[in-house]
Amino acid sequence: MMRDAKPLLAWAETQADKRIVSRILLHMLPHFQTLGLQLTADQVEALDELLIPESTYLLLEQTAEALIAADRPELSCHV
Amino acid sequence: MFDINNYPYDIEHNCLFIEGEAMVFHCNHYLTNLQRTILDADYIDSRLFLIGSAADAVFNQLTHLCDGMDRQTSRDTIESVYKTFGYGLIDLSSLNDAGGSVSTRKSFMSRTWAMKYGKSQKPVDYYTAGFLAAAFAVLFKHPLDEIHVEQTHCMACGHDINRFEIGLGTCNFSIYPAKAETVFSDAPKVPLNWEHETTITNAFLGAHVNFVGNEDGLIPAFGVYIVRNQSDFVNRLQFEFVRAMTEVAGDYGVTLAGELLMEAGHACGFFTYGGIMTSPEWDEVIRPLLSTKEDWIRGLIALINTMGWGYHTVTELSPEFAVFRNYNDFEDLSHLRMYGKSQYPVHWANSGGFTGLMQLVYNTDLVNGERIETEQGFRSMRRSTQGYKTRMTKCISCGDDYLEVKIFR
Repeated sequence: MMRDAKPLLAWAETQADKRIVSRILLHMLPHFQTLGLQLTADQVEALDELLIPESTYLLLEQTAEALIAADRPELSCHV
Repeated sequence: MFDINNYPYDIEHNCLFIEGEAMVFHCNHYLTNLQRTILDADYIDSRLFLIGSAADAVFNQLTHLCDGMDRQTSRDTIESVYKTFGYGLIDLSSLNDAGGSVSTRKSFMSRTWAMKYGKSQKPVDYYTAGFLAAAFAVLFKHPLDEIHVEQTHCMACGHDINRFEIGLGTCNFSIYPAKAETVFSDAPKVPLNWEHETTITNAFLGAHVNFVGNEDGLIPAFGVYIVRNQSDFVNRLQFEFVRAMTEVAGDYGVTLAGELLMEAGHACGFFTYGGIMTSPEWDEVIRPLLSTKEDWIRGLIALINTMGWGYHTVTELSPEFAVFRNYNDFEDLSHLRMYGKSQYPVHWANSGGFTGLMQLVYNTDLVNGERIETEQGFRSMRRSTQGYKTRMTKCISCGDDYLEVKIFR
């Protein structure tokens, strides 16, 4: 079964820093490579849909959620 | 004791060398972002070059610096170097010929990682691991490739201290071949062509010596922590990461890695340049000379040309489009020293920095006193629909006379 990953990546972009999609793509690179996918964030944005197998989708979801959960924008990094 | 004043700034090439190593300042935002990007690719064994890059540059530098010194003087000098550069405090007295354990409660990397990203699952102070490996090698005349170093405790993980175990054994980091001599480009520079350039540059020339570690071995300045890096250490991190990504994914690896490396530079430009342009020093010396937003950019460039990053200039400048150049930029000089020519541009940090500067001046109200000092503020600005795109158009490592970056909406 194939699932569209576009909505998931669009959601991730609203939850974390500007380059979160690039970070997710970096994490997922070995898995996407096995599907013959080599995408940049801009290319993802230009796609109408990004269909990937269910198993890869679940990995992508886990990755996105883990990166977002680890995100701490409330921390004050001003010195 | 180590004294930064013993090393004259190279006015002709806008750089500083200390015992054979080019030195550049970076801020905590850049270095933590860079390291996080590298660690994100967990299918690469990046520990090898995260430690190895530091060990190589520090070993070269300390070998020169300690030549002819007795062991105790060398030890004191190495501790002083670490503190002066802003990495924190280390005490090497526990090391003997077989190695030992070194602990510290003052670490730039662990402190700033926790500040920006919260608790880490793994130790993060790879630089200090490499530094200690090099220090041990120099102090006890051991070959660098016979040293094993591990960080066992890290304050970024919630421990009370950072602890490192150093000894003889199977080397667990990369060893690199000797580097080439620095070759500066002799291409004539297009000057900034701004009436106040000389005034500002002269006012800040030599000011870099004030940026030395305080009693905690840290350098708080302009709202960030800065450190004085061996340029080849920090740039090798970029180059080795891209090399590893290329092995995994070919040209796509360069593209994806490059986007994230540029983002690290962007954060640096945004926070550090923003801090500079809202500082008392800026208000006192530079701001009275500024009339337009373009003046703000030229003023910043005139100042940072005294910091050792090369000679920056801008040949076209408007809110919609800008062309920046850097003659003898630190990234290209590093690449040529360590890897020779490149097939693709390698100045991701410079490019991100220029983009961050454009965003600050044209997409925020900085010139009217608005300060954006939070991660949330940075993100809001980055999500702005008015954001800039960046294109690296010329690169010294690719054979051009200078680095060039075009920035446009």
